[in-house]
Amino acid sequence: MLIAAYAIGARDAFVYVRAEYPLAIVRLEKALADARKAGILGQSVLGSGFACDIRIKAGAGAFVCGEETALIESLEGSRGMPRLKPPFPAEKGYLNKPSNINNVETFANVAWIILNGGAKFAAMGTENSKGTKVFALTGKIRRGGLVEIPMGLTLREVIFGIGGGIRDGKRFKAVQMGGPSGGCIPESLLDTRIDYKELGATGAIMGSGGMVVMDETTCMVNMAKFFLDFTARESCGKCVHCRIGTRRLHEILTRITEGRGKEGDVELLEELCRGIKDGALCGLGQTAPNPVLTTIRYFRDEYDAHICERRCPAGECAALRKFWIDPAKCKGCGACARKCPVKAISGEPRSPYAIDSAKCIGCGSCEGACKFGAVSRV
Amino acid sequence: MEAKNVSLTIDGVKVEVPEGTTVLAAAEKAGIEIPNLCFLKSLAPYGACGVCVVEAEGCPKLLRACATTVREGMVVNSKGERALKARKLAFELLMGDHDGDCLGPCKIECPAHTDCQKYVGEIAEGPTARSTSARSPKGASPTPLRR
Ligand code: FES
Repeated sequence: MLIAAYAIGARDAFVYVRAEYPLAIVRLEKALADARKAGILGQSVLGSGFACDIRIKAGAGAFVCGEETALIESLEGSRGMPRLKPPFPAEKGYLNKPSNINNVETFANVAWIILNGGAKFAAMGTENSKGTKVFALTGKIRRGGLVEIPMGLTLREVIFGIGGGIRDGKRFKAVQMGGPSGGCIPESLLDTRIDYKELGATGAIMGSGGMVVMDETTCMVNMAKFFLDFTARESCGKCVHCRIGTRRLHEILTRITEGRGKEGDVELLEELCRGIKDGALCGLGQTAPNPVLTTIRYFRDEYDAHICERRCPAGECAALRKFWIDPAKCKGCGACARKCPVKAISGEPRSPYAIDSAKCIGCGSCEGACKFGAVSRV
Repeated sequence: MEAKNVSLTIDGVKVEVPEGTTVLAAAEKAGIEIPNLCFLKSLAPYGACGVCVVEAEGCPKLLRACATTVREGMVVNSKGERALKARKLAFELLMGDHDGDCLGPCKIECPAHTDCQKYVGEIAEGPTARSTSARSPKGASPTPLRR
């Protein structure tokens, strides 16, 4: 960061951190204090006469503040809402002064490149994407966490090599790449290399570097709904496409997962998604439809099963689940009936119980309550 | 210093305007109407509604006419299919979300032919299903996204 400040002649520098990450702030503060003591920051950086100091700005953690102009608004003390571009931050940024704004990861790479040379950095990666990238590997994976990998590895190498594969012996289903506004990639495309261009071709993005791995128990419609719930909430509300459009997307997805989907809903979703991508003001809105578009592209059959057959293939959507008690296994203990919140289970002690499917809401409490494995999904 | 002039083409019409003019203002000068909602002459452009979007040759994104300044040689198409679609969607989304939240009692007739008084009254009484039908008795409110 100091190198960048020196290069453009900036005296003031900020690190923008979410206030919800107190540990990061404590550590940063300590690092800055140490740097000041060592004379790396301050009136004369390393005795060069160049003055620069870095301050920490704790933001309220709005997702949209990852958008550069929204971040600058927040830095200035206003609500984090994107500005119109142009003018770009390089012309009018913080306090309308020319500003350089970059990700921490980018700055971290600069120091490495200066120390080791550009050729060495460029030697890693692919023709389109050089160097390394940090990913946050999470979800149904054996070994999650932050991983830094050279560009060009395939998704399979990362998930099954570094991540150790899927937890609990389940099958891999898809990976959501690039955070909540990224896209999901199915098993058939696992040999895609991690590269801006190749990832983009699948409909996903590099984005924040999030990698959420999902197994066969994840319902893709429900997952799209989950991410849309997030983006609809995080939308700053400035432009119409994002504010209202994401909400409509979420409503449609909700009704599909609740078994109230209509024929033509998928086409409606697609049309709306494309419109939002085209009309939204900033990156949040332009990428928010990605999870919907990619799940439709790769898991259309799941949407159709929800809409036409009122069935959730992964068995995740509560409204579409039905349970059944196997009379051969049921000992008649009544544990399930006591747990059922809607009193859908009836029976006499020591003889098999039964579920009234008209009353059942598919919550799955009975399945968890049964010690004999008698409750199963239909 | 005299302001430089920039010439551009909008919907096939050539116009010359001072540097820094917005596409919207340039179109107005050329006698071309670009619909807009959130733009107000006395304020800085806000760019929220997305109703004023236009296409420009060589530009992958749709541009907001109210907030885009002209460039020399720009070729703008304000009635392209893509722009019209985005514009329609923006309006549809806006109107579809208009739950009679304007200030009553209405002084002028509602453009969506909504009987707001009745609508608000019915919400207060209870069943929203009925109040929704009161909202747009003639179906004039463009709410197909609520279908
Ligand atoms: S008039 Fe609303 S975005 Fe231009």
